Amino acid sequence: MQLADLPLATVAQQLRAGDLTSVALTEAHLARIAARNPDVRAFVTVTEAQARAAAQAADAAFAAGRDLGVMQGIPFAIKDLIDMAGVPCTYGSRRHAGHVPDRDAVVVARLLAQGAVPLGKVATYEYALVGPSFDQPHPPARNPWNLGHITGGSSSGSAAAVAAGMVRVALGTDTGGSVRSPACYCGVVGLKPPYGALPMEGVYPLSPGLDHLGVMAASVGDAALCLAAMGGPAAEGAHTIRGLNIGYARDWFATDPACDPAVLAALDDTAGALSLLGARVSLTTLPDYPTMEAAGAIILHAEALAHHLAALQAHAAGYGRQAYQSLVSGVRLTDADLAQARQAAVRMRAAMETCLAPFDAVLTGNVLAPAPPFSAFADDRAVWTAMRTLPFNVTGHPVLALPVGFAGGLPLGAQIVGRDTAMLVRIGAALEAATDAGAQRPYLRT
Amino acid sequence: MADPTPTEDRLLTDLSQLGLSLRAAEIAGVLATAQYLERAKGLVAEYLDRENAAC
Repeated sequence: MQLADLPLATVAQQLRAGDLTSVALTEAHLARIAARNPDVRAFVTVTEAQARAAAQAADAAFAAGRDLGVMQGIPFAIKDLIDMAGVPCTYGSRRHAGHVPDRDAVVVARLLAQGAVPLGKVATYEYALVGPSFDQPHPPARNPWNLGHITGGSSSGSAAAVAAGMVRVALGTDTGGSVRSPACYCGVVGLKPPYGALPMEGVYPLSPGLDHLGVMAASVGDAALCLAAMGGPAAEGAHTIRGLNIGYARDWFATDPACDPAVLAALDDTAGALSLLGARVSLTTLPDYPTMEAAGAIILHAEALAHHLAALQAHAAGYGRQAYQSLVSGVRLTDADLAQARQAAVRMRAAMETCLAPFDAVLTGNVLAPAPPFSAFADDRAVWTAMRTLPFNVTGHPVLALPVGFAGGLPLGAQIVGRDTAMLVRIGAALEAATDAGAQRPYLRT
Repeated sequence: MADPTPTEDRLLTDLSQLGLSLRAAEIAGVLATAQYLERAKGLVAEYLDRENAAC
């Protein structure tokens, strides 16, 4: 196994044992980026100098017997919606071309304080809204499994960078599924902790009532390790799930006409795998999806337009056309509409709690079809893709997205939702160890 | 009760009042989303009515 492909727990162990240096690991990742990023276009800024300096500092700290934290010496990538001091951050928009923040986002500061190694900034859809689009500062990232297909978004570069083996963990944001849907499309793990689990200072807002920070990773264990290092819930990947009670919310997605039969088959197989691992799996239901999506859509569109309205009025030409259209479509939403949707969201959270209460976790669909080709996005209009992600931004529950199969050479994914992040990691790690969907990697230039 | 389904003229008027506009090719897509959001308001209102009735 090459250095850049080592699980982070192994890396952390080898760094502390003196069997590996952060400098060697970082150079392996930078070489991967140099070879693969021209095709995949995940990184929009590679911070080679900062990475090498951080790696040298991490090695020096190890040599001096100083252990700063589990991410010491480990490379990571940052969605270009999240600030790192002194590094360009466009938020995916021409309007912020040349913008260089002077402060780190809190989560970035936490990782850097631990001696983690910043490899650079990875692509985002404009202001975390919609895409792919070709009128941003950078062309859209491509799906490493098929460069003619999209990555999903808005954490497009995070997913593509991890799937392409350029980095093991990348920070993302998730307002309506922006960690989980690209994780699904690109065949990587996406972990969205509970609402409010991570501080949002230094992260460009989309819809503060729904915004979450999250982690995209090459494995469940890697995601859990990075999340805990940022101050999120700690979660060990105990690999036994025997006796756990897992619900399978099949009707919540299977009845959608847009659900690809391959997705349904992969989810059914996943439920079967959980059962074979000793869990008690039973069919269950979740609160009405269209109503939850409706509340989430109102909150998202109303809060996003409120944030951007003055800038839209003053600098409309600075926005990409897809982002502009998405924002202005909320023009008829009133403060009363937003208040009503927020009131509904409170009730929906309670209803979701009731549905989740009998179970340790619930399995359900993520995106309901494989990643579409770029050719489906022939003009500046956004294309609607069926998914089941937004309700968990409305309720704020933690969700683990993980790969569960392939169709036509493209990954398929699932979501595991619950009330306890550690439990999701436990189940995901067991599933990952027992199946091979998460272990497969696309063929790319070395 | 949700507002009436927005028409193209009404959408463009609402935008104009905020100093915003759309290109001709963009109107249909934005109108579709605005109409979805109008239906969403109806779904949320009905949900709250049911919840309140159940209390």
